[in-house]
Amino acid sequence: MAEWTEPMIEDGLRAVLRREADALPLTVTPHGVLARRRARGRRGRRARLALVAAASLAMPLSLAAGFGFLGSPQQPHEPTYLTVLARGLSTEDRGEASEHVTDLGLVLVAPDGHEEPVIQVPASRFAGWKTTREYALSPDGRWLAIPLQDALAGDVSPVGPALGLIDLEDPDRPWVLTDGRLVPVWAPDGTLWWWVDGQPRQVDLETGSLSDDADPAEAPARHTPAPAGQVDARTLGAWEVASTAWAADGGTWALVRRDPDTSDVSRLVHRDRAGVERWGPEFAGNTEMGIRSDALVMAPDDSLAAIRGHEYKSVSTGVVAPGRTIVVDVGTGQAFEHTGWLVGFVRSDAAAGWSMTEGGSR
Amino acid sequence: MRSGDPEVLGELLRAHGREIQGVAYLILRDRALAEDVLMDTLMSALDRAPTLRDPSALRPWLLRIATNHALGRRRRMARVAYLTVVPDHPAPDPDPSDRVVLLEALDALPARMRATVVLHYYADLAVADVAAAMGTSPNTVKTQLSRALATMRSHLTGPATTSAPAEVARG
Repeated sequence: MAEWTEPMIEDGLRAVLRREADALPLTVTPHGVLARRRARGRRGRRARLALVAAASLAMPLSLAAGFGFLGSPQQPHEPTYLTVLARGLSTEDRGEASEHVTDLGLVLVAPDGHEEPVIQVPASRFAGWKTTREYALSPDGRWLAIPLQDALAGDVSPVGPALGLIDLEDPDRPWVLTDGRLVPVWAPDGTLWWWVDGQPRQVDLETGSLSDDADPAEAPARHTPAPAGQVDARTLGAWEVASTAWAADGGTWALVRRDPDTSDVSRLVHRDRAGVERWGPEFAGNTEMGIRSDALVMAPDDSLAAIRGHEYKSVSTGVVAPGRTIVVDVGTGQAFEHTGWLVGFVRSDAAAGWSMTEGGSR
Repeated sequence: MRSGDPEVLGELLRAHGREIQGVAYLILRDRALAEDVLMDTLMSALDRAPTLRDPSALRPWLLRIATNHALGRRRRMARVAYLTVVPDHPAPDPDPSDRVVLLEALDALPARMRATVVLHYYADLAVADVAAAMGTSPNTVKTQLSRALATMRSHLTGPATTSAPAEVARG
């Protein structure tokens, strides 16, 4: 096996860098540059107006800056949806054996990675229950659905025997509990669906009961796992966005994209995993370390995709590290990695009213 | 140039656009951001044109502006998780494993060191011009290049490397 020598590296750099850079098409035009220059001149005035608007919405200024209201060159547009993560979930997430849950904290994440804690739900809310990590937030930011397990029974199954619904607008309202067996999903129209015995069932948000007469065919097809190109059986879900198919590979940490014109399938792979992804999934069997993604969530307007994953510290004991979430801007392919369990997306106007208040009030 | 004549801008783009975009892309590894840096560089060039006293220094001057914009962008995007597009059926490539491992080794370098490598090995700037573009001395550039090669060699031959070097295509 040959060794890399410095002259070889120099030759390789000259060849590879040239090939990489020259493969890029030059799409910038003189008129595009001049238009951007004119827009830059207007940005200062728009930023001052945005500051006033943000303040009137009672949004913390740090949050406003993080979400681009100040006219950051990187994020000139106010995002329609923001990512919500959960932190401080349970002692298990810190690698301890206890299954009791501590406080649940929700964190808003801006497209540029800026974070803002917004809601803290105290541990008393979880008395007698152990939460799973299959959180699902309604698009309007009002309801948080969490599958629950009986803490005393020590249920280690991956799905819960009950579904907890937290009304984030009404801290005094009792939890709405209902039965179910799989991960809940919020449809873009604000309805909550739950798969029971393989059939989608709609959840009544007022009573917490499952509808008996809902037609399973009404379940949004976009949330039903479907094949997308050459994505394999581990696919977590698939969505069509402007005729481009997006899916996540459950065995690895990859976002799969199918080009609508050529039908070519490519994978967006976390760079740290790129070497692994080329040759196969890293997680395999009874290893002591591994990584696995377990959910793909799309913002209702299809602007953002998020992959939830976690790293196993020890497969044999089931101890996992705190969750990791990758949020991808579907338009640009730019991605951010965050520590925390993915809860979902919330409309930015709804998030503007959130504040750091105990009990889940806003 | 200061007036923003589209024809002058077009000339700049034809003569230097691809190289500016290439330098930005190799520093940032993001196509959209590289386009942004190209536009920012041209806008800065329009604004700062009066400060360019020697027209023969236009190319290194533009690359210096581009490098500064790219490094600034990189500082702001420190939390970005880099993604690599991996085709399921990659196009024929004589040495795909070398391309991947070399780029990974380059990406592992600190940002300014990577910029120095890109300006020297991609833009083919002489050490003195790299020094001018980076705002440092030629000796510092030589040291950075030497350390970069040593670091990359260590990365490529370290225990984490899974690929053996194949013959590298000469450009």
